[in-house]
Amino acid sequence: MTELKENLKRQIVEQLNLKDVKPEEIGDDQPLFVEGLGLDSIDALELIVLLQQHYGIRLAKAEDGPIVFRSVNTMAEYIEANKK
Amino acid sequence: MSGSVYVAGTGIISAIGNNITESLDSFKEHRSGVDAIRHLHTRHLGTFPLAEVKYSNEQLAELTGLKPTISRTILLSFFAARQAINSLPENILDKNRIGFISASSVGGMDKTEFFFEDYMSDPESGDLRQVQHHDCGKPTNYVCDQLGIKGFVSTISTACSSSANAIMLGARMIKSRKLDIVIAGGVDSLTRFTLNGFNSLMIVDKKQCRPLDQSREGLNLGEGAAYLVLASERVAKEWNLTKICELTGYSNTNDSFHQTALSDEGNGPYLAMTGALKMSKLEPGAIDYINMHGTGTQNNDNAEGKAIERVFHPHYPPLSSTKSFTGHTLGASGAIEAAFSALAIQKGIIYPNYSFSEAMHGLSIKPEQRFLENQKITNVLSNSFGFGGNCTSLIFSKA
Amino acid sequence: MHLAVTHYCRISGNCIYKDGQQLFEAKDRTFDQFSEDAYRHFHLNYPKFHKMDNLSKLGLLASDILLKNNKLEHTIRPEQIGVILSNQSSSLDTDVKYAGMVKSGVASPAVFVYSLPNIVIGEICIRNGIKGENTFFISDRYDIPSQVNYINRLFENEVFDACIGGWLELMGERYEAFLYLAMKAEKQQLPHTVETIKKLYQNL
Repeated sequence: MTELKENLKRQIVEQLNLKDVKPEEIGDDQPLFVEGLGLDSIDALELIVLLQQHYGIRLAKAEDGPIVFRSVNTMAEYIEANKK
Repeated sequence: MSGSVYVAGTGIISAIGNNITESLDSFKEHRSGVDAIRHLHTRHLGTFPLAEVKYSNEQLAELTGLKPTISRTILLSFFAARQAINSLPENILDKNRIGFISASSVGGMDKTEFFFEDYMSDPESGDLRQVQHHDCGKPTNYVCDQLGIKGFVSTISTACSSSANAIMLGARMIKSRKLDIVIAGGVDSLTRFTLNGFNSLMIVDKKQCRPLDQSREGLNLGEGAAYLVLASERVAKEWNLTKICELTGYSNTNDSFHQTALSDEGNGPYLAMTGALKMSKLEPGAIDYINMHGTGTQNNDNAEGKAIERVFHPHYPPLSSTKSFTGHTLGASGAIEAAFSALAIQKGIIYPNYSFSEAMHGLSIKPEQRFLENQKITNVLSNSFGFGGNCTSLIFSKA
Repeated sequence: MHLAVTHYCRISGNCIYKDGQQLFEAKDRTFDQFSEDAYRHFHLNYPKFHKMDNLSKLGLLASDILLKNNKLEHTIRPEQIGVILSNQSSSLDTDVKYAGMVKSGVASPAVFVYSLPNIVIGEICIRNGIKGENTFFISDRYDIPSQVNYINRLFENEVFDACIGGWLELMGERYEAFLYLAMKAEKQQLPHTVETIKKLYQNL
């Protein structure tokens, strides 16, 4: 799980072009949206692409996004639960 | 700038008809143009419905006399523009200063994406003739040449407000006495690029779209073209042109919030509508019908709805989204809906939504559900909002 | 009252000029590298910059430098500031990138969003709180007489009191930005005329 989370942080920084952020600076439980990393709706869609591209998981409903993408922890849990 | 600008002709093609009469029949008979995909070759076949123009490229080529291998954007643009000028008296275009202003978001991309496929697998392959009309400006120039129009030519590309902005520009050129007649409008044809792109934004409905409905799940993409013939007071009088209506107000603003979403309070739409009302010197109560941008997305309908309530509260005029019939025709939508608005004035029409069951939570507005004719329609407001925060409102009035 | 040009910015050949003075240079760098270098040099401090496509980065850089230290927001209301730009290639640079991604099976929404030329205007407006009229024209070359006359007419008809105008073109490594700010003014140091803009554009 630790390796997954480290990979996720790296992938998030890369996929979302967060050039001013280092992966290790992202807290496991840090909110990704609004006050956290300040991500927006397009970033949420890119995270959906990330899930598909790197983990083969399709998030069909955009409304599930806020729950799944709340933090690196919730993303990792979702991936563990749904990966093929 | 001064003087009136009249709408003296229209040309239109969309999923609900190949001319204005057929389009009206579709509204009367409650036939939406949204259907299973027929022409576009895409891996999303079976997943999304689209509002395609019913003619294939071969059929459009036969009707227009152009080559079937040419970009669908050009075929649709020429079809509609020629229809618009067909009703005009002979020689009128030769004896006056003419402008052709067209808008598109796609340009010749329908052909380029085929070239690209070949090219990506092998850089030596691919037919370069497929990309010669790729630029947004090329279809405009090509159609202009085919129509034999020699005068001012321009292309506007501001996403979904493009052709409304083309109409604004046309009116300004006439009011400033630079031009006498302007054929203004826009076109877009469906491409895989667009479908994949909108799908990646997760704003496409897998079923018939439901603008203004609480249960709405997104837009249906469509295609088409429409052009208005705008004429000055002098030319309209001299040539005894039919005055379908007058373009009395317009305004363009930037919502300044997000690249693809409107601000929650609909600030850009609010400023555009109030700006157009101010220009036409009308109070909100004077508007008899609003043709909304109404794409069917959560964001647009909510923001536009809020803005309408801010402007018109407490007396809301009848309103609807004709995109529930034509789909969202992107660069063509401003002009297609302007044509419907002009016709609404001429024939006293109020267009319905294709379907409706529940008002959006937190808002009072509800769309009209029946097609109505012979109403007293003196002023119509038409909204078009594009990505990049580009918001335009047009007001048409009885001449 | 007339429109006067108060500032202008030019970015080409990896050089940045404001009001005729060179402010920055980074030779032998790709546009990607040059834009990052400039972002840091001018302390743009705007993380969204990194998510933009190259046309928007070019526009954002040029407009930031153009408006830096100008008290734009204090003198004129946001709805009274317009943006009128044009280019030749539309958003083709991004369109090609996006098409390539779709081909490899990944439709990136963040890239798709930039497949329209007027998004850069949206970015400039969001950054600076601008709400006035805005249009993006496509033409084979920078048509100064058309654009200048159009902006003047809009000003005469009180559509806006200030306007950012110019040419913003980018395709691959070939790019050119020329933006200027025209504001309502009584004294005309640099009147907003075809002659003025031609001179400013051709000088560098």
